[in-house]
Parts: sequence; C-alpha cells; structure tokens
Amino acid sequence: MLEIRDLSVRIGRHQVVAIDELTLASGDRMGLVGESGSGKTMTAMSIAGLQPRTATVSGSIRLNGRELLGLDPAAMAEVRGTDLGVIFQDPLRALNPTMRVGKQVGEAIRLHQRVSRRTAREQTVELLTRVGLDDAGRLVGRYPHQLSGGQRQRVLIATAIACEPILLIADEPTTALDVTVQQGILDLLVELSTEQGMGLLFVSHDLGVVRTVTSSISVMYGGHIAETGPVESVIQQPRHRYTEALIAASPGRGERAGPAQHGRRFRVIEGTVPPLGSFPSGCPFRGRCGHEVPDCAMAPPKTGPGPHVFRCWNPTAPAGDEVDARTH
Amino acid sequence: MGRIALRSFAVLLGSALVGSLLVFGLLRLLRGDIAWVIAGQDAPVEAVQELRDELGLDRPWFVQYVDWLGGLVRGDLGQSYASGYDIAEQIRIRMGLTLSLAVLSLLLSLAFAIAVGTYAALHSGDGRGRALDLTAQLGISIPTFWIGMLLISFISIRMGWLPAGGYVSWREDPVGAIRSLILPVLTLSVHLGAVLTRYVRSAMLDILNEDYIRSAMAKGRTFGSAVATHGIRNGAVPVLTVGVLALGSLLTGVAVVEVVFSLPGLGRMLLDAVLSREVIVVQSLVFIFILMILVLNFLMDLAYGLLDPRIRDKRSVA
Amino acid sequence: MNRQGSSVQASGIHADAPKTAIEGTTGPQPHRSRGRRFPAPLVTGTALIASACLVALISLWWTPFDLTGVDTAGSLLPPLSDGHLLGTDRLGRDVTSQIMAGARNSLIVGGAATGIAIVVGVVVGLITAASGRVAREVITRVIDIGVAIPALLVALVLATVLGPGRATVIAAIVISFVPWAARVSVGPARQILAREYVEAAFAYGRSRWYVMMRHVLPNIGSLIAVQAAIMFATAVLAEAALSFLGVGEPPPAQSWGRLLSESQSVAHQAPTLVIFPGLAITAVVLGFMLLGNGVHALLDPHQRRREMEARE
Repeated sequence: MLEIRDLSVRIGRHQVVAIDELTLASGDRMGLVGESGSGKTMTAMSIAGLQPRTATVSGSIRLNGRELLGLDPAAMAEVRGTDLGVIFQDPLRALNPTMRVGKQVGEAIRLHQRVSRRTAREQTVELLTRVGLDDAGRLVGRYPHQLSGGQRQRVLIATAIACEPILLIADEPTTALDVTVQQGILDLLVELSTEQGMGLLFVSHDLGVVRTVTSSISVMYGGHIAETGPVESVIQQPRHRYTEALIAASPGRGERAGPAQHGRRFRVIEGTVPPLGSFPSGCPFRGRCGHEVPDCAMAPPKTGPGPHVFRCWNPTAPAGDEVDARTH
Repeated sequence: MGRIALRSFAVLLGSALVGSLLVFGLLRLLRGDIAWVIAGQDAPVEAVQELRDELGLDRPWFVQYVDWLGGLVRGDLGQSYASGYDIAEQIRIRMGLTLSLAVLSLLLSLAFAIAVGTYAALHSGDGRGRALDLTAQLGISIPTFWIGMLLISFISIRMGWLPAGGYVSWREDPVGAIRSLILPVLTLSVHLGAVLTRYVRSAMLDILNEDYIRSAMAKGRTFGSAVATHGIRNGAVPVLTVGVLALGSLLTGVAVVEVVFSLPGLGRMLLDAVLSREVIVVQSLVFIFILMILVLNFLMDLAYGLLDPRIRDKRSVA
Repeated sequence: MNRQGSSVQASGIHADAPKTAIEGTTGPQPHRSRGRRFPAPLVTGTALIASACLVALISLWWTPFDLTGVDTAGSLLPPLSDGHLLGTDRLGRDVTSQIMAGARNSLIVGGAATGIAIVVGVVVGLITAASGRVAREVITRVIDIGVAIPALLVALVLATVLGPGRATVIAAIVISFVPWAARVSVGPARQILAREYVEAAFAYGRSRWYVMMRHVLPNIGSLIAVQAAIMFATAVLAEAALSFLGVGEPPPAQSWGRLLSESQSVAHQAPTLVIFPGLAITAVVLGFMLLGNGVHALLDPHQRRREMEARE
C-alpha cells in the first residue's frame, strides 16, 4: 500500500533522509524507530507532505499506487485529509488554542464531505465517542486547554480518522503524555487499525512501545534504514550493531523486555548522534559502534534472509545456524 | 464574559479617575497659581484677582477638582478665557473629525499591516522579506508631520489633485469631506502602518511554525488555507498586545496632522490652548485625549478575551 | 514540532548559510561564529548615527555660514547658489549651517531624555521585580497606564505651565519613557532573580543591591541597550514634532522641527526647504532604529532561526 523508493530529503546541502526502500502492506502496522536526529520524523512528515518548507524531497512515495511526490499542494492536501491521517507528538500544540474542539474535528469532516454543520457536529460526537471519549456531546464545546493531555490526543486521533484514511501516521503520539494514559492511546491505535484495516506508521524512539503496537519495525540511523523486519525477529535477533546497541540501551519494561537484556543492566550508546552533515561516510554508525571492521568505510550492503534485512559489515551472529551474508 | 467585561470597565473608570487627578495635579503642582499662567506674567493684579474669582481658583483644590469632574460628567466645562467659546461645545463639534481621522487611519493601517506583514513573514528569509522589513523601519522613522508636508507640497501644491487643508463637514459635502481627509489619513497611516506591519510580521513568524498549522494541513488544507483559517485569529492576540502601545502615538499623530492640514479638530484646539496658556482648556482636552486612549485600551482588552479563550479562563479564575 | 525535527531543521538551516554555520547542536556554542560579518543594517545604522554625531560636533566650531546671519536680500536661494549648498531660508540664513546645528539639538534632547529615563526606569523596574506580589501588581498597573500616555501629550501639559523649551521637552519625554523602561526590565529581571545561582547568592547572604548590580543588571543590559536605541529614535521624533508645533527650544537655538515649521509658509516658492531637515530627522531616527533592531536580531538567535525556517 505504501511504497517508498529512493527517498531523499535534503535541507540545504545536507541529506537528512536517504531511504532506498520501505514498504508497508495494507492494514499493517510498522514502527519507525531511532534516536533524535535519525531522520524518522522527517521521513514520516515527507510522506504526508508536511516536511519543513526548507526541505526538498525527491524519489518516489506511492500510496495505493498513486505517486505522492510531485503532486501540487492542493492535491496533496486532499490526499492528507482523505487517504492519510496524521497525529503529532504534542497534542496541546497541535490543536488550535482559539477554536472549540468540536469545530476542529468537524473541520476535518467538512473539508472533504459536503455535509451540513449539524451533520458534521453529529459525526464529530460519534467520532469522539468512538475514540473513547465519554461525554463527547459536552467536550465538543470545550477549548483545547480545558482538556487533559490524553483527551487532547484522542481528539487528534478522532480528527485523523475522520475520513477513514488507509494510512495513519503517528509521530511519537504518546511521548508528551503522562505514563498513565499512554497505554490507553496505544490500545486505541491498535484497535482502530485492526477494525478499519488501517495501516499505521508509528514513529517512536521507544522500542518497548513500538513492540506492543506494531508488527514490523524499521530502525533508522543517520537518515538510513539500518535494519528492518518483523518486530519479534528484529528485537530478539538484532543483526545490525546499531539495533543491538539500541536494544541494550532500552530500559527493561517488565515482560516486554527482550531476552537480549535479561540479566544485565542497560547500556548507553557511546557518544551522541552527530550533528547534521557530520555523519561519517560509509556506515553512518561508524565511530560510535565499537565493532568496526575496515569495510565500514564503505556503504554497507543490504543483507539478510527474507523480510528481515539489515545493513552492516560486521553483524551480530545470527541466533540460528544459518549464516547468511548474501549481498543483494 | 459579562463579569470580565464589567471588571475591565471598572479598571477603565479607575484609570480615568487616576488620569484626571494626574492632569489636574500636574497643571497645578508645576506652577502654584494658574491664574498668573492664564492671565500672563505681566497682567495687572486686579485682572488676575478677577480671573481667580471667576474661575473659583481660591477654593480648596479638591473642591475645584470635584467641580471639574462634575462638569465633565454634565458636559459643562466653562468658557475659554482668551476666546470666550464654550469649551464643552467646541469639544463636541470637533470630536467627530478627530475620531474619524483616528479610526480611518487605524483601519487603513491594519489592513495594510495584515497583508504586508503576512507576506513579509512568508518571505522573511529572502531578499523580499528583508527589503520589506527595512521599508517598515524607514516608515517608522519618517516624522509624521513631514510626510504631511511632503504630500501637501507634491499632491496639493504641485499637482493640485487634493486640498492642502481645511475641512468641510460630511453633511454639507460628503465628497469634499472625503477629499479633505484622504491626505491626512494617508499621512497618519505611514507610521502606524509600518509599526503594525512589523508586529504582524513577527506574530506571523511565530504562527507559521506552530504545530496547529501543520495539523490543519494534516486535515487536508494547503499551507495558505491553514494559515488563513487558523493563523489570523491567533496572530491577532500578540498584535493587539503591542498594538495598544501604538494607539497613544496615533492620537498625538492626529493632533499633529490636524495642525499640518489646518483641520479643525481637537488636536488643533489643544495646541492653540497650550500656546495661549489656557490651563482650563488644556486640562479638559488632555483628559479627553487620555480618555480616548483608555477607551481604546478597554476595547482591546475586551477583544483579547473574545479572541483567546485561554485569557478568558485565566481571568475568570484570577 | 518534536525535538528531533527541530534539531534537524536547526542544523540544516545553519548549513544553508555557510558564513553563519554552527556545526553541531550540542554543547555551548557562541552565537556568532568565526568570520561572521556584521549585518548591513547594523553597519548602516551605526554609520548614520556616527555621521550625525560628527556633524553636531563640527557645528560647535565651524559651520559654512554664520548661524545667526540674517540676509533678507539673499533669502530663499535654491541649493548650490552663492556657496549655499542647500540654499537659504526665508530670512536668508544658510540651510546647511542650520541643519548642522540642528543635529546638536536633536542629539542632546534624545541623549538626555533617553539616558535619564533608562536610569530611572530600570531602577523602578528592578525595585518592582524584587518587591512582593501585591506591590508588584499595583506598580505594574500604574506602569501599564503610564506606557499608554504618549510623550507629546505630556509635553503639551508641561508646556502650558512651564512654557516651551528644551527642558520641557526633555522632561516630557522622560516622564513618558520611564514606564516604558520599567516595563521592559521587570520581566527579564524577574526571570534572572528566579535563577538558581541568584538564589544561591542570596543564600550566601549577599544583599539585594549586590545581587541586582552583580547578577541582574549585567544580564538584562543588552536588552536594555536595544530598548535605549529605540527610545532614542522615538525621542528624536517626539522632539522634532514638538519643535514643529512650537513647543521646543525657542530661537536662537536651531532645531530641525522648527526649520520645517518655518518652511511651511514658503513651501510653494522653495520646495527644497521642506526636504532637507526632514531627511536629516529621518536619517538619525532610522540610524537608531536600525541599530536597535540590528543588535536585537544579533542577540536573539531564536528569531533569526525562525526567520530562516519560515523561508520557502
């Protein structure tokens, strides 16, 4: 359903995203994981045409076979409200502080459906109830600052699913929320995706969260996809050294903790993500990795069996006997 | 909202009272005996005493103050000492012209500022934006009265297109009234328009990067339509906050422009009173000017609450 | 905008303009990196102010023609005649000399008014910032009213009882600027006072006065300097308007506003008389505006970034 090929996002003379291939099947849920500065949000926003205006995007992004790059702004806007929903990290900032909540949800309906104000209002109440907000009839008359963080994020989700999109992009939807309401939002996203057969691109820095939500995972570093595959396969048998380090750095989350971190403290990844434009050539993780081999100075090849692929010259040993370092 | 409006109104009344006391006090504190100021230093003692009796300047100050306040409320402010006109009546006659000048130039400046300021914000990084910003700074730097003089020199004297001054009332000759107001309103709008343009630009720069603009786009709006539907109202709040400060200079600008274009408004009247040392007239007129500023402030204050529900809620809690 | 997005943007933007490149988004970095040129508006502003000061200084010792020399035979000469670079006025006085001497007046009034108002206003602001909640609310209310009252109105009140003159003008501008200076210093001063190192200083037993002088003032100094430049510009404008209205320093002192006022009656015979004094006022005011706004832009990398981000 979503097919990305040779996606490149540049800001000035710096390339912030370089993805040769990323696909998401209809109704699938994929987590896009990485540290700050890995390019994951930029990738997600580029799909929706919401990248910063300083950025230039090239390559190919197809949604249900339709090429999105190169669409004129009005056509892209139409795609956004109908086939594509987006929710953002900070629900308070993503809502207009001077507009009643109901009107903001209703706007998403009325932009794409010729319905009366009253019908839109009824649909809004329905939608809000659907995303688990009690007393939706009263909430529609409220302003964003009068709602709780969890309520606001539910309002944004209601807005995003108003026109039953085939793909929902969620950019760190729980990061700004209290821990106590995070799980509710995650459950809602999974539920909506399952019920409506809606694809979900879930952007997060938190492997533990991604694991509970999505079926596949793509790990980004330095604008590249380091490793991608089914979520259990990637987390239990990470092959890329960066994925391995990322998992090791994740704090254990009770039963969600991967076996790789049982019995040991979580580690930190040495150094910090380099500033833009100062990623080393070849493998971008070079310099922070600790498992470097001379080949790392060259771009690592795409490796791996089946759906689980990675780009690393010196991958971790696979758990099974099968040693596969075939170059595509 | 009603309670908040009531409180704003109470603040307005309080500020007006403080303002009246300040004007009244300042005019008396600086010179002990204003009878001498009015009559002139070399006036005969008897004439000064006569003036004192006539204006009741021998009474205790608060009696005079209350008397003046009462007069303001009743609309009876006495007569001009030098020219003999009825002060309150003159104010009533001239008020309309001064207010039309102020309101018309405010509207023109705002319309200009919203359009140009938004454009400048959208292009703030490139040459066009920078050029507009410099032009705005230049507009702020040009003295208002000089713009008026230049317009008179070129448009009225050289080209003869519009009258160089004077005023015919709306009732007598509407076209003539408009013709006589065009240059003064243009003159006033240069400074205010430039000031407001910079405010709008800066408010818009903030708005353009707001997340709710992006989420409006996510609902299916283009950038421009998202800014138009969600940006303007949010941008209006900070513009109003600083715009209030420009109102005082707008009103004094009106006074100066009335002098340049020989328009019979309150500003001309005030200046004449100042130059002929008519303390009583100055006192009432300055208060009227302060009152106009305070009323505009009050209206802006109400506007914030209407525009931003967060301010409304914060106030009703406080 | 999430943190990742903005950090990407920030670095990308700096990279856009190689001269301002700040490599890296971590650790303390100077706002201005090596080899940065000062922006053209700032240079222009400084140059305008410097030349005005220079002209004012020179006029103390030398002007092309005698300042008080009245020559009705040579009145209203056009520019470049008989050695009069900018012509002569109604009384035959040399316009160049008058404008040179007028610079003195504008700068004295602007400097004195701004200087006094900044000192008084900042002290009021610091006191307000350090006082308790109730006192602060009250003073803030009064300041709010004061800020709304324009200098011109105050000047007209003062001129009624004190008569026209430079002192009246300066006093009026000071009265209307003090609330302004107080208002812009209260907020930042309170922010500094809330910082941990200031609280630590109090804990060490430092006096309020010491903390104000040692910690608060230096931190809000640059911000106040910016305001001072804008105030100076406003003061020059107010002085010109007051002189034009006849409330400024009376003759024989020279002032740009009065030159313009005198040119009004002969505008159709000698249009250039209307032009030059106005240009002089505009140049000086623009100089201070450019300086103030230019320094402000340098001090506020946030705004710079915002502007860069907003571009397409």
